[in-house]
Amino acid sequence: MTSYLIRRFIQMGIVVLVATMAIYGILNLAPGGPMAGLNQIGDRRARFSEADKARLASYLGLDKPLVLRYLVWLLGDDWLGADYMSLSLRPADGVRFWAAPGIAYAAGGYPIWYIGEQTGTRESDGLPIIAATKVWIRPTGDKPAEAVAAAIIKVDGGDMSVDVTGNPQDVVVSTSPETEWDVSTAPAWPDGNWVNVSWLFGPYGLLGRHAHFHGTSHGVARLDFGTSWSVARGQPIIEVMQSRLDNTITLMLASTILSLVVAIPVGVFSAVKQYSRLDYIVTTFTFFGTAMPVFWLAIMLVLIFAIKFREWGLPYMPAGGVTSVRTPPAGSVLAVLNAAPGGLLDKVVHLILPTVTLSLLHMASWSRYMRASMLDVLRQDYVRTARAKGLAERLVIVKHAMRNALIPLVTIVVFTIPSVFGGATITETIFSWRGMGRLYFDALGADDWPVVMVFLFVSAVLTVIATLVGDILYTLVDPRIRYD
Amino acid sequence: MTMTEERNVDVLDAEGLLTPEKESQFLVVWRRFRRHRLAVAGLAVITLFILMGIFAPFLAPYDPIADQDPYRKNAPPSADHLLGTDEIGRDVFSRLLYAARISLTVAFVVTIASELAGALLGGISGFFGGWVDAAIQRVVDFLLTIPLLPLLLAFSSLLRGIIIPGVPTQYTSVVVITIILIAFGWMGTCRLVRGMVLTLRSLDFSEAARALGMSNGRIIVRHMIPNAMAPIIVSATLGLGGVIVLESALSFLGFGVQPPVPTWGNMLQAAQAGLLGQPAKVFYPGLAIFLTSLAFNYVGDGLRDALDPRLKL
Repeated sequence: MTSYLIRRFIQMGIVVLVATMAIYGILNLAPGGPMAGLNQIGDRRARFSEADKARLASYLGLDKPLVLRYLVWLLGDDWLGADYMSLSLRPADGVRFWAAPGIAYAAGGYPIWYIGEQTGTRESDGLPIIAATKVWIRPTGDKPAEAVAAAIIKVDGGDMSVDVTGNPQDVVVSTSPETEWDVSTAPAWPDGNWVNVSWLFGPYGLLGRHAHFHGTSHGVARLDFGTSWSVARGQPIIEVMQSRLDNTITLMLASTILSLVVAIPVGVFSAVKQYSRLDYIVTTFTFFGTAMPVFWLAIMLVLIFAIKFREWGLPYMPAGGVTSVRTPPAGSVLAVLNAAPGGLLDKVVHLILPTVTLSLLHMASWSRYMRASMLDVLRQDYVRTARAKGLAERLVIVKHAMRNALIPLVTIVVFTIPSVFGGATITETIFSWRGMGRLYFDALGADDWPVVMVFLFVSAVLTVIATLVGDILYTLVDPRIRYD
Repeated sequence: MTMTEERNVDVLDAEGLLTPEKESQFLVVWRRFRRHRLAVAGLAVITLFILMGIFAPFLAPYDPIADQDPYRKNAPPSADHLLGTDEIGRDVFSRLLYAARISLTVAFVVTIASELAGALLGGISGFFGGWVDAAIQRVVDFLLTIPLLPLLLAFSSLLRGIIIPGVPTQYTSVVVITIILIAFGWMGTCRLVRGMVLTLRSLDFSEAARALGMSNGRIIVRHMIPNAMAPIIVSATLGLGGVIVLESALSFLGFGVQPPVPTWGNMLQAAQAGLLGQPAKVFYPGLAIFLTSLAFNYVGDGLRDALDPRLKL
């Protein structure tokens, strides 16, 4: 079992890793892409120009190579070491990767020495451009005679505008891959635990200038989900999700409990009375339930219990939402029950229609499953033995048959774990239920790709876990199954 | 059915067993299928909807997209408009007929293509085993990792506004949704067929075929496929109902077939917006989806019984 579990964990890791690659790759490479929605905003004049798009892409990091973006999305960019964008050096703890030598260690105010020849003047401000052959950052010791001492004013990509010591004329020190760096004294970080990855992430490394990242995110693998773009602009996704998860879990628990409470007895009865009228009705119901489109059912429920009931003067249900905002109008169920907006009763009433909608499908398939499993068990020898030794039929069914018939159902119910997170997109959308499913739907509509990706990522992880839990449960409840 | 008739059937059956060439496989299945009354009813409903789809241009009194009556928006049913008009004055009945066309075409194309792909990949996976099997099964595992509806939503959202050469712009979404549904619809069949092939491969007749020196291709074509056909047909029939509902769900959420092309799903979406004023409009498209899905489920159930060789004739 242990070796099986280890193997499964490794497999799970691989499956999740591939899933993240696919989610990230496809969502970013597809023709629509994360920025497809932009052109549709506003009229022709107000539309995004190509320059705007490029600027936004750069702001969101979309101009970087896909592989690096994926790595940063998954693992964060704090381990990349230097904070290129804000050009400050951050204190480190534990092992960090650094991309020295390079411009990474240059920051405003630092003293430098440089050696280089003037190659031209900068168009924007006429400053002379010096192509540096060697640069010292925060140098110590004696300055070589040919080097020029200066102080950094501003770092801009590979260029630094510097204030040359003893010279009113500022210059631009331009660096290139050929530039030799001396930054031995630059980082005042703990010694010994820095790994040089300049070949990859340095300004002139494999990924070149693209490695200029903010350096504060931890990546989704470390549960830093980043911030939302549009659904909740600028808000951390994890907070947005937390605020929605409560509603989804409430709805899912309610519907799972309701489904089980109905499905188990119904399945047992229709199996015990196989081919009876009740069985016939149940079988028909399960067919109807599995064929019923959820969205139609939801709309019809709203139509009947919210709209028609109101017309007929009956106490009508709220058509959607999680709680009422203001005092419910006279004639509604809420007013009849005198439920205070936001109170428990108010929430329960709002929960009814979505729960019924969601439950029907599960009820149908689970009672069908329970019936089949029960029929299977009833044919077993031990049931016959129990009957033969004179046990009451009730006891035979409840104690001997039903208990064992429940086993397969347990595993089926486990597979609904991921949906507890994911919610029910359709039901939540129709009933304006502010849960995860609705969040996902809104995020897709608003091109909020970080939210979409996090949702898919978490769903994938939970599905993999649920599959494993289901498999383990099989062995626990059925000793004949062994994984070796 | 009276006793004498029942006995006659038995006599006929006995004759059929003695001289099997008299009754083709198809007739046997059909005879058994007919016993499942709801399945026959389902078949009738489906046939009706298919005919409605095929003959939509002749049956529909109006064009589903072009004929808009600006003076009669949201009209109730009348002699002119059998089921009334929608929010921009188009005839609901005509749109329902054309929607049957789109929804059923998508369902059939998706199901046939994904069953073929699934059967082929599952067959290869099970027959050859080894790393081929491992590779295909890992792909299946991984595709099944992500919940289907969110995945489909993400994809159709990504592919909104794409241009496919040779396809009229308003029908692009139909093609896109078909492709997406195929791309994520083959895994179940793949697993099913793989499992079957693994069983079949170890049975005596396969051993015998191999011992006789049959080539792999011939074993697959002559022995594996005919033996695996029945469950594939059943899963395809049940799948058709699933695809109808899935496509409708996507269209309903606004991520499937885009207006003005009518499908039951997007008609329902449009009707939902006017739920307060025109509650009856949400009824027809939903009923059509429900009936079709139910019918396919019953037909699948009937076929399962009819095709099961273990059941007595």
